Amino acid sequence: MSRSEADQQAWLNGLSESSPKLRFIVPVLAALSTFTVLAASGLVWRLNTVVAGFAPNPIVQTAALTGVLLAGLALLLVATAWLLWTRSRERDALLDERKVYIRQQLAAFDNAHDPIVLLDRTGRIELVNVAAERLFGHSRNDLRMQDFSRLFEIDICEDDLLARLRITKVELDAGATRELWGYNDCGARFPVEATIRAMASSGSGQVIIFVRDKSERRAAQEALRKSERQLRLLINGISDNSLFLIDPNGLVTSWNDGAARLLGYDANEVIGQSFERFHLDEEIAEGLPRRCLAIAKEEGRFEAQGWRVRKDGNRFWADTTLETILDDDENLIGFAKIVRDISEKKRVEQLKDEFVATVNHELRTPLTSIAGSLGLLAGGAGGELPAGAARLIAIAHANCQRLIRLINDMLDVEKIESGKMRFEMAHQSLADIVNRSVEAMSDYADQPDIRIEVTADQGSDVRGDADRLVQVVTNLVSNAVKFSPRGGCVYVSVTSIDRLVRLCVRDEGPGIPDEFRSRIFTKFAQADSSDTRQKGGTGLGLVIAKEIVERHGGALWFESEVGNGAQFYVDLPRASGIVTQTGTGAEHTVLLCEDDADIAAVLTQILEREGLAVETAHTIAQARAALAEPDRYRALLLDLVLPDGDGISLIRSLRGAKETHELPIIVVSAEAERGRESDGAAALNVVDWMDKPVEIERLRRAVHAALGRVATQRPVVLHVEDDHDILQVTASALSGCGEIVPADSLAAARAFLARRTPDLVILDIGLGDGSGLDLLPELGAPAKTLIPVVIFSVQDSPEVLLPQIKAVMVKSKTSLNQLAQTVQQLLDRAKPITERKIAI
Amino acid sequence: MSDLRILYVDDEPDIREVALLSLGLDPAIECRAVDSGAKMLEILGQEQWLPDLILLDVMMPGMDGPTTLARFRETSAAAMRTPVVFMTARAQGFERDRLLKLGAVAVIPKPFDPMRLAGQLRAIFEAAAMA
Repeated sequence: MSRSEADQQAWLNGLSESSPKLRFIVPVLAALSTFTVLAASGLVWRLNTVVAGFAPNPIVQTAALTGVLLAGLALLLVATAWLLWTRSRERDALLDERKVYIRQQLAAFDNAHDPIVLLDRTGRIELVNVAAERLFGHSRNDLRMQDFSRLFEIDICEDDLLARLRITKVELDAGATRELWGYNDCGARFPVEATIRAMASSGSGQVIIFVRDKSERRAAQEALRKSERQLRLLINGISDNSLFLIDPNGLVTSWNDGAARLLGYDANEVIGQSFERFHLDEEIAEGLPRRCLAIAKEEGRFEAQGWRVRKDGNRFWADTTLETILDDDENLIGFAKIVRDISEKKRVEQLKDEFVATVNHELRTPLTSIAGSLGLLAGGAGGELPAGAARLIAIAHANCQRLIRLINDMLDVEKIESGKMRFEMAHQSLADIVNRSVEAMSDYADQPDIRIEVTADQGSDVRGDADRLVQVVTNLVSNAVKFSPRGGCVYVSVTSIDRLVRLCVRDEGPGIPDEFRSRIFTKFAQADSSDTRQKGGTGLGLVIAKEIVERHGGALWFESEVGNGAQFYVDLPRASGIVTQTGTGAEHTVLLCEDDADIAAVLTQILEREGLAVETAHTIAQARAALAEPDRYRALLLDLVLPDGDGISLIRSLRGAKETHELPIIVVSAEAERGRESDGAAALNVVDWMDKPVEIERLRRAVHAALGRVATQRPVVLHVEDDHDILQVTASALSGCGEIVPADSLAAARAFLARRTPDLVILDIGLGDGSGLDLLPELGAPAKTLIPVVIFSVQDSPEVLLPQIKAVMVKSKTSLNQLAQTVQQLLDRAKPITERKIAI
Repeated sequence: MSDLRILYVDDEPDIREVALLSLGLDPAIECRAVDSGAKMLEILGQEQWLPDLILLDVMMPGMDGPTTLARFRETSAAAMRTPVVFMTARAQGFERDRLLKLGAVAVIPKPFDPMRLAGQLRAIFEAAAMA
């Protein structure tokens, strides 16, 4: 017998002891009364006979009386025995039934996950289940017939169980829940939730208590409450910054004191309202706030500066951060938005800029007169000067020049430090830049007895700002000249090394002292102050040069051996010259003349997608050289603003030449408008003047028009998605892949499918009017054989996997770029081979 | 006999004087200097003396250089063709681009080199005449 069965048995025995005995009294009383009646009638009969004088034989009389008595007694015994037998059978049956019921109940008790305690009417413990043993740490035998205050913190002064449980009879019958404290075997107190109910079936006044241990949950709740409180305090405490939370639909859900102060609304005025109200009306009309949310949703974070509007309608310049909040399963549950008022900072910056500009101007104005006068005197414009005066004028003139250089350098340093140094990056030949710099310097040569020798590789092209690169070269060469001995030579070389273009400036001077090496690139660093003064430097040149080189993605460094000259190196990333795309199998080649490498790359990609080979020229000179080869190019795509001239002059000269008179030309330029409006533009016979940024569709049309063909059908991509922001951002990200048709519901998608057959479908699963997967069967219909489908949804993987599902991409884990790539690959794969080579 | 007439506008008398001296180094340049944009428009409006090139300071009280240029361009068809050179103390890269976009043919930074100023302007004028 297992332990629990033994316990059940013991409990059953206990039950039988306490079973009611009333029903046994009834038959006994009945039997006794029968006996009494019989005895009494016998006695009455005998008395009657005596009174009537009838006197039969006394022995007979006694015998008769005895017989009657015996018969009554026997009858009584039989009745009693029968009654007893019947009752015992009933009792056995009842007990059997009860045993089965109780066994079932016990099994249920023991299987129950929650602890259960069974009390008798007086509050003694009759039984506990396994879970209760585990919770309280006692065995059920220990607890048997113990008062339930052993397990619970309960008032023991009251006698009545209901009063002790603080529960009414009605509550007890219906079942009621009380929060109690439980005790375990170590005496530790823990919170429990007790559901107390009368045992309806037993009628014995038994009470059953279902116990739930609340300590873990309570601890968790308390921790949560505490951390919530801390977070609330923290958020409210950030009173300088406005911090509020937005749900995925853009409604404000939480609002801190800083937000109230900055934006002027109380929490109750904005909670539940759209966050758009803090933006300018025109921005709301343009959908800008919504786009910010969409971008934050895609990128996880969105930062921007812009105008915001207070409750009173006043604007302020704000620095804003939008950050997504994800739950444990990476689902978007909202956004945290931080808004900082930086109007003051912006104002201070403006003041500083104005101050710097004013100082610059105010210093330069008198210097212009001084330098001009001295220059004229030193140059002999004022007539021949006495030797002593000429010497003094020369000193004043040289120092005036130095002061001008110092002002220029200080302005540059200010620009570098405030991050305002601008670079106009374009394709440059470093060899040209070096030649220009050295030529300009020879005009000023203070020391004509120092030679400058230049050797430059051709093809040393870099991307950079020409003026700034000239500044770097001038600085390095003039330093080298300054430190060269009389009659010395400065060697300047430009060489291409793999992907680098290296400029080297070498002098024959004293070299750089060891102790100065570490300070050479710091402001106003001087190897020897008297030395630097003699040389007329500002102590800023190398700092500026290094910054300029680094902003070009390059490095400025030096080698020097004391007594053996110094060599300064500038390494810049090499830019390619004319880039020829080979191996594309394209039948036609177009020439693209564009100095911005990034734009050139984008345009090249678009043109290659049209099945064209693209060659790129970065300057008008390169374009001219390339176009000299007759009939090589079917069309020219031209920027107007190029490093070595205006695109329009190139067009004019091309139109003047017989070979290129008919060459189709498409202008793609930020100044297309200017070109179109220019005199005689119509005569230039340009296919299209297109503004930057270029519209892909318009470019395609222009290219096909230039080549005299009808544009081939672009692939059609149906994007089914109920979030309009996502539709919008995806459409722009995928615009290069084909025509993107948005459908914001199953109904819209079906309406489209009834009219046209897309080449690919991007499918969200959770849609307003059903599951995106419901569309799958319709996409597999015979007429629309296996349209490839990309699932783009928040879910990781759909339950169904059908052959037409080519990719499953999870929104939060996929960048739009990845999506675009996948879609492009699938479209390429789907294209029949013959169509892939576009016939033009 | 002069072959290049220059009208020079600058509000700073000292600079004006130095610049006139500098331009005087080239005997074939005839230069007139005025101290405001308004005076420049007045002279040009009289049409008695028309310059081949205008040298215009940028920062001037009242009407600044760019405004003067814009007004001048509105006056006549000839005004559209006269090359204008700005001279400015703020000739850093970005500022220079802005001025060139306003329709100037060149920008000369201040302080200028007095010994080269005449040669510079002559070269600018010749390049503009070629275009």
